[in-house]
Amino acid sequence: MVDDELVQRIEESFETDDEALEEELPGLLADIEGQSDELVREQPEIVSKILNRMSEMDIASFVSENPETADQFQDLLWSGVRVLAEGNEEVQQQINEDITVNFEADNCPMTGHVEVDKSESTVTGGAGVLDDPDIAITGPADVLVGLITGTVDPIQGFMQQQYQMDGPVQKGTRLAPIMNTLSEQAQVDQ
Amino acid sequence: MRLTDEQKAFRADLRGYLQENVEPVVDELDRNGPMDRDTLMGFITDLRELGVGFDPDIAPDFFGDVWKFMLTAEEISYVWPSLNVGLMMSFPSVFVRFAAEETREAMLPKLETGECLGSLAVTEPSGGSDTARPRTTARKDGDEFVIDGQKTWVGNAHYADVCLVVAHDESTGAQDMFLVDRENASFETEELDKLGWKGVSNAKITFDSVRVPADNRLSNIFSNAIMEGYDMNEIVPFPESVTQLFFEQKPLNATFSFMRTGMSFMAVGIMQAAMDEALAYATERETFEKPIAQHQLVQEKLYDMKSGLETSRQLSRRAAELLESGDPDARLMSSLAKGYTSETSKQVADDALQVFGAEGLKPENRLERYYRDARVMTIPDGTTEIQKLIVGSELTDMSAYH
Repeated sequence: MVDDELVQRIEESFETDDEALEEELPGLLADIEGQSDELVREQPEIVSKILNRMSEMDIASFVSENPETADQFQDLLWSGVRVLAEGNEEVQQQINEDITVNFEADNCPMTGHVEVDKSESTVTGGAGVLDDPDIAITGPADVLVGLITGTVDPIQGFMQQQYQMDGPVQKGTRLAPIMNTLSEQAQVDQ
Repeated sequence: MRLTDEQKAFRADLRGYLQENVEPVVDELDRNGPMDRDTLMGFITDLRELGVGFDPDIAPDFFGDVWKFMLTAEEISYVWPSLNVGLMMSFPSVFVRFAAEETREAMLPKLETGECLGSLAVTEPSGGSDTARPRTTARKDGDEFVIDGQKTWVGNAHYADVCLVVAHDESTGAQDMFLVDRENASFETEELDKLGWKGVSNAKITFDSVRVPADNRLSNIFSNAIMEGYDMNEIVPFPESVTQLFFEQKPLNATFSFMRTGMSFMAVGIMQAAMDEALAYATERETFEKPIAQHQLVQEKLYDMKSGLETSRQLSRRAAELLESGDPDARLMSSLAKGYTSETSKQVADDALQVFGAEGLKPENRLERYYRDARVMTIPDGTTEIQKLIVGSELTDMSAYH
């Protein structure tokens, strides 16, 4: 159970301007650490609001200035993805093979990964990279975050060359609908 | 490179058709200027019977086999390069299958019978070959995009059923492509006269607030099809190796690599035709009481033509092999092949005409057409200068475009 004080602090942070939020975020994300899953399950709207506000920020400079906080931000992000995937029937149907993906920003030191597991029907992710992933995605940090939060359509973003993808084309076309459905869901929640 | 029995049979059938049906009429048709739609569709319908085309039944085997596509480019260009251009420029019609409902309703029946003629609008009057920064714009307005701008040198533009237009998407700030179908939208075209390739229509297009459904944006076409569970190479029926290059080298670049290798084979076809005519003439025509082939300087011309032809053919095949294997060097080699073979075709056609002497200057003689058609080769699908910049960029990983 997420404590009320934390929820209240998060809600108050929405009232502040971008600069104040940027200052407050490291502390806020540090407090959320370890409770990401509970927060996502119990307060999905609040998490969506945090992610929405963050995707309006200059992600690359935030990550460059706060590398540790960036990892905590990713943990929250991926908790959201995991929980969304668990509860979404369409995504469950779309998970029909194992896919591993690394993300690497080309304008700041941000890396992440996602694993689609067919036997568990899960989509999990986190900061840092996997050894020998199926697919490697590189691009600007705000585009990579947008892919997860739903502001960048995975297929359209690729076609419009907003990011690069390296790996077997067949794995990419299996991953795209999953990411698309998740980002559509994330947009609905916002 | 070794052709399979099936590919050899395909080539034999294609040669047979071209010799029987195109060769006897090519001189008159080319002299009369751009073919009309019915004439072009007549050839396209016949070629479909041989397994050449872009409809859902034919495209996977035609586009899906690098060698069939390249053999087609070479063999048709041996007889009539303009027909090859009219046929190949129709490929954007493949996207009708996954387009917006109104476009599918209007065009799918035509596509399924091989009668949906396509065109590709890339070049702009003010932008030339700089495809990365189109001045033509697409503005989002509700569920539609509104296209404004001009395109030039668009093959088939006059009578194409669908036109795939490269434009700057103002909603994303990125370059994208938009499929315009002429049942639901209209635009003005203006025929352009030109030095060679006289049998195919090229036109300037003006898009004046042309509205297309949002689902006709190419990235949406891909997105919608993938969401429906289609694989990339079902959407664009290229070989899997080429769709793999979509991932690694950007979709438009991979498409250009494929088309430029086709252009390279087209140049080889023109060279072979010029060489064959010159060789036959050299052994038949007599001066000073002996065939001109017995003059050393004529043999030198034959040597030069043959070496140009064979190096071009081998380079084209190398580019096709790299495409077939999805090799990262496919972009470099396709540009090298297109640039080199196009330039060489000019020289070979020039040498062939020289062997004919004054006879080669007569319009009723094919050498004159080969010369004009070869001269065009160095300009469309990226000028030789652009190919040099691509090769340079691929070799050094440093761009010298600007």
